[in-house]
Amino acid sequence: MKGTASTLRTLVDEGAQHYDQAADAAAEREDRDARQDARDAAALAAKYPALGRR
Amino acid sequence: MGYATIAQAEAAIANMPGLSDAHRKAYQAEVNEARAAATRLGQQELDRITDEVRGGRDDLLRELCDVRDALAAATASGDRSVLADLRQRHQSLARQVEQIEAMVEQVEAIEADPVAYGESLFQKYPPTRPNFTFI
Repeated sequence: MKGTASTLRTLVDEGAQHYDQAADAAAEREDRDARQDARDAAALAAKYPALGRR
Repeated sequence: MGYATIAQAEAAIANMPGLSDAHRKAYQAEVNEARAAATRLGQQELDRITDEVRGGRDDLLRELCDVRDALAAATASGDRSVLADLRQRHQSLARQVEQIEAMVEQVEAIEADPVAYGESLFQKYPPTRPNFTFI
């Protein structure tokens, strides 16, 4: 009984750690995507100056 | 004859001045039988809790592993769209684990003193009290 509860608690704690890691990974991916979007926009603006004035 | 808790029966014996050894022995035997009945109640509750925990254990373990693995996959992909659902599932499972932990604590308390568990039922529910000839 006590072993079962201990195993379950370990899995709950692991799940919580994985959740934090997944949330961090999602935030990093979104930052990365946003930076890439900005770079793409800057590249487009450089290539087509008229776009940047609109 | 009357129904009483173990504590009430013991107090009644203690408040019988001049009680003969034979009567004291007979009354104490009734108290000992009440203690045995209390222990049986404790054992029944232990069995009930143990069955309940074992019944849900495997599903809970499997679901916790599923959520953990899905979160690990989400970490690898950086996909936020699955996180809300996984968080909700994890919180629900965590609540179930808390219930099991509380049940395990109850098992430990009953194992430590099964008579006290039975006596607590006698105190709470008068119809369950043992019948004593000297009350």
